[in-house]
Amino acid sequence: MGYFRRIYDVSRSILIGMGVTLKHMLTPETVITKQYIGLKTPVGTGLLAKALGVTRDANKVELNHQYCAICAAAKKLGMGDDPHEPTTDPVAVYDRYYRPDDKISKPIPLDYLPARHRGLHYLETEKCIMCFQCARACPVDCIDIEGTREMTPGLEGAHRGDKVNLTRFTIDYSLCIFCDHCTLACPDKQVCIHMGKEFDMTSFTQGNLVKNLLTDLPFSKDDRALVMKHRAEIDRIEEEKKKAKEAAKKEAAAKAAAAKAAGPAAPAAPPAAKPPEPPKK
Amino acid sequence: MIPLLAEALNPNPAGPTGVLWLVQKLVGPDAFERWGGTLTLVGSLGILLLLVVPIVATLFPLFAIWLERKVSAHMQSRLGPMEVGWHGWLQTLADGIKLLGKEDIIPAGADKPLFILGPIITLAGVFVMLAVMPMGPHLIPADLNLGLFFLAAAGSIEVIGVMMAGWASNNKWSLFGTMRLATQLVSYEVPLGISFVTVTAMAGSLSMQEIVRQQHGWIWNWFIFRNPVMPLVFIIYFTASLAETKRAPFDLPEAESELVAGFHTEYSGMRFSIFFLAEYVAMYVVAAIAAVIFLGGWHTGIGPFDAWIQGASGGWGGEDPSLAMAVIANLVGMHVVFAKAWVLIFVQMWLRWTLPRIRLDQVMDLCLKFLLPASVVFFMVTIGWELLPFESWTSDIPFIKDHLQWRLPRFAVFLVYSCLVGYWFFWFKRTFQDPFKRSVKEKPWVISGVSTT
Amino acid sequence: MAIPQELHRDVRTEEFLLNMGPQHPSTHGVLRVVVRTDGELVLEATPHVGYLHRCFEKCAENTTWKQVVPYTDRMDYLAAMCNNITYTLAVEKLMGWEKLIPRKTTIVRTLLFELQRIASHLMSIGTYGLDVGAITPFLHCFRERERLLEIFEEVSGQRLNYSYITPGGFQYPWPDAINRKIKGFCEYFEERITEYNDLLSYNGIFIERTKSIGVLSPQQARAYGCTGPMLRGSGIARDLRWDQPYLLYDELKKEGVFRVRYQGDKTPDPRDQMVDWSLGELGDCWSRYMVRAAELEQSRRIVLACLAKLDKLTDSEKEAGAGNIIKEADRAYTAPKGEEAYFKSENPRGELGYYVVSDGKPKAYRVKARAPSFNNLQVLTEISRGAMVADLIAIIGSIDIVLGEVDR
Repeated sequence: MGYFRRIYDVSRSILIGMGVTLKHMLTPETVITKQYIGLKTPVGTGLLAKALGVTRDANKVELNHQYCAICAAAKKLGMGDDPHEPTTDPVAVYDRYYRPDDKISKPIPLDYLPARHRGLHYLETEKCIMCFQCARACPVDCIDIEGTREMTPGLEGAHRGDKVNLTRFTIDYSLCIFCDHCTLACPDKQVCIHMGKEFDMTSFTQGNLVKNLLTDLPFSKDDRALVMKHRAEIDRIEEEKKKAKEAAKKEAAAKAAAAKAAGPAAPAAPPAAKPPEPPKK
Repeated sequence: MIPLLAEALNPNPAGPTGVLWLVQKLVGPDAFERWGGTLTLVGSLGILLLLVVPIVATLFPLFAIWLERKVSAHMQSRLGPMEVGWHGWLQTLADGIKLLGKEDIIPAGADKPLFILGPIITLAGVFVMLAVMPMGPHLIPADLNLGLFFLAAAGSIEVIGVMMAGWASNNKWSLFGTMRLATQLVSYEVPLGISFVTVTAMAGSLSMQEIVRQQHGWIWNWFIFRNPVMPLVFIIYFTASLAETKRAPFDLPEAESELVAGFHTEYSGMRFSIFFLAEYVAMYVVAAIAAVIFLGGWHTGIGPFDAWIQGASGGWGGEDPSLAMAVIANLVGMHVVFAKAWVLIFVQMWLRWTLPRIRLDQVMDLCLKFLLPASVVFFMVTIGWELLPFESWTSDIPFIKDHLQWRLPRFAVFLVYSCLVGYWFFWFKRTFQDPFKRSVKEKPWVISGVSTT
Repeated sequence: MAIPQELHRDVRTEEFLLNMGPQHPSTHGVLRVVVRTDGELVLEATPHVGYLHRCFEKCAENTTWKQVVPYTDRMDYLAAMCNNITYTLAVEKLMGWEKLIPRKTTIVRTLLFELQRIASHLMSIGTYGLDVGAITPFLHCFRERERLLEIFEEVSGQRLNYSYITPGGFQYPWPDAINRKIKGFCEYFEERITEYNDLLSYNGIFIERTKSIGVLSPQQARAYGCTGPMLRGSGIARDLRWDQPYLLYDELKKEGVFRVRYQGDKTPDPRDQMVDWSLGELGDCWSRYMVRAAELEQSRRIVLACLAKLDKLTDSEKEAGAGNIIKEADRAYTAPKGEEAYFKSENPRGELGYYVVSDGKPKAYRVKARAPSFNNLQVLTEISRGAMVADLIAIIGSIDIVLGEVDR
């Protein structure tokens, strides 16, 4: 009896399973494929574009929610008509992300990516004060910052009053783990580093993965030359300062020796005032 | 030729002129003799066959692979190929071109002659089976009078090819696949053969065309309804054929998640595509065999229509048909066979994407403990049924005596099984309902088929 | 050089030495299993691990407490929220911030823990079906996972390695508008569970494939230190959420929202999916798989309960729980030298524990992770003796390992 029972059980379960797959095949609302081809390859505006629910408006991409099961569930429960709307405030400087030039793949404002999506970074260079908090907060040390900062005398400490001259602000995406600690470490008053929505940074060489946030392009030979020049400049300035200091010291020593030689009555020369040193990187 | 020319240039024509005259001469009632009689009918159908068989053999896999990908995709909540051609129908062609461009790698320690021969023999074994597949009333490359036996024999050649491929790969995993394969294929030939024998017992002949001819008339004349157990024999045949073509749930030899690709792991490029091609042509062949021997072949199941096809296609010693009608009738028959085969192929794909894989010892269990005894028992029942004297039993009942007498059992079987299938679809209708209507709160969820204590 | 002793023993001619190498479709990562078989029968299967070792614990020694959080994500990448939460709770225990965490934060953490459990179990069920040969349930599970990953992306910005829950609270404020999206998902998911059971769990062929395979007796499970569904599949009703509650589980336990699902559980509960445990043997693959499938439904109910609690919060509580309450939590903070803390939680795979030691500096002195998959994997040799090669795949799938955890 168990022999026939087993046949019956197995056959019945197989038939039930077949019913489930047939149901899936015949109901289009279960399809979940999000097709990206409308973004990278041209689909035109014809039948195919309509079928895929992709509009060709240059920077706008809409998804077809006609068959979305979540929207259907939400509708059923009377929870409003579009649970897919962004649930967080969009980043205020979102507009800045539209770049008209095509040196890099055109950033596509993917509307269906949520506002908090952690993509490639971009920097508001005019706000940056070179406080290095982002570089320190990074768990993998992928942020490289170089530049000079002239302190306003009497207002030591990084803030907007200083003249900041950034020569290098790169993020090495072969190291970056997209944890977003850098944006949170940026001081409250001037949040200048953001993670955008671009996620595509394919390249043929590893060198191209280092992105220069000052130009939003890969860190190139010209950039490198600029940085070397800046470093050479700083070295030169420091050399000069060192020479001047030594010269001043020699002078002071010579003066002191001269004063000593002149006699105990001559007043001691005041010590040479040391000029304020620029902060070391 | 000359009388024809004279008639063409006749200044005072009697009947239609111009194009109509030409058409009448080409395909009209007396065209048959003009074209040379029976010989030309066979010749023209032969030309048709020359076109159809290669098309079946090469274009069919093209579409079958595309269909499989789309069917599997839609069952899995995705879209499948969409880029190449409308909804991706040229995808297989693109893949074929890609495979052609691949490097032909033969592993270092591989047995080179066997490695190269393996796929060829597999494909040859499968193609050879197409020689006796009827596609229409007179569309069959070779109507052997032991057609069914030939099919069983040719199906075994595939086994050798696959074994050669697996052994020659010099790969332990391929060897695993091969050993599993040999056991599986060889043992499932037994229930397959016994279901062939059951059909032969009913038809009285091994010839494929004869088997189809015996199913003429209405739908309950099909062999699947002749007997209460014939649908079960059909299921046994279908299961055994799934095992023969190594389709899931019997795809242990090429188990994707266990052995990477089983016996064809080491094959790449065109050699792999030969295996692939062989698999899909084998799918068509077994589906077509089922259509022919169980489901009536090129009979649609509607009596008068079938009679027309039979008559118009070249008869059996009947009236001379016109050539155009003969070709059309044969093509209609061919499409009927294809339609039935496609439905069965869809069921094969459906099963593949629903069921998990059966382990080898369970495969052998299934064959030896379930299919084999069942097929033998059904064979006995069939023979016994054939001997039952239904006519003498129903010779007194007035209505049945006149109209249904010898057809009553098959009519009854047809009714009962259609009701069962209808009930199954109706019962499944609930799965097509709006999912949010059928909530768990209605009744506690009961596990299928097993008692809860 | 003389042939080493092990090789002498290993080189035999009547047996088959098979290498299920690090690259294999079914080993759930880079796991190497060296199998000695007699035809199809497995005599010995030895797992070799270490192919995914990334020196996570060493890296943690060079980073501050908050910076370790992205590293914990990548350990068990399929249950990243759970790893984040466990580590966060360990550090909060270390720093003594446990009483300071507001109620909303606790509720949200529980919610995310259970959502992550659903995602992880979906993955485990789907890939288990794939190992056994059923390809369709895998894609159905991934369709559900896609919904969950969309939710996670709205919350944290990433789909897989969130690093959203940090010591002190969250990295960004909890977006309240997402509650209704999660509720919609739960409603939609109810029907899907029935579908999975129809398609895979109670499929006759699947049951034949997994019944009485890889039987792990309760004594063995205890001896090897297995935890999670491995333990519950062998009939031992141990669940850290029930026995040593953390986060909100105490409250949920009292309200009767969930209970421990284990093999042989005969509690009639009309709200739960009734599972017929008689279909499987004690400790076999089917039981372990079914524990995970049953926990899907349970986690769904816990998520709904948490959402209800979130709705009932007062405004002040909502205010308090927005974001990170500890001011210094974004910078580098220190614990007194010599402080240590161990925190364990019920990961989808078992008991996950973090042992953190401080030496008074802002950098973490020692972070040790007790990964459940590492302990669970040990039993492979024991339970696969006498199985067939196809069963070996099923057994590895039922242990549900994640190599990121095993190798760290």
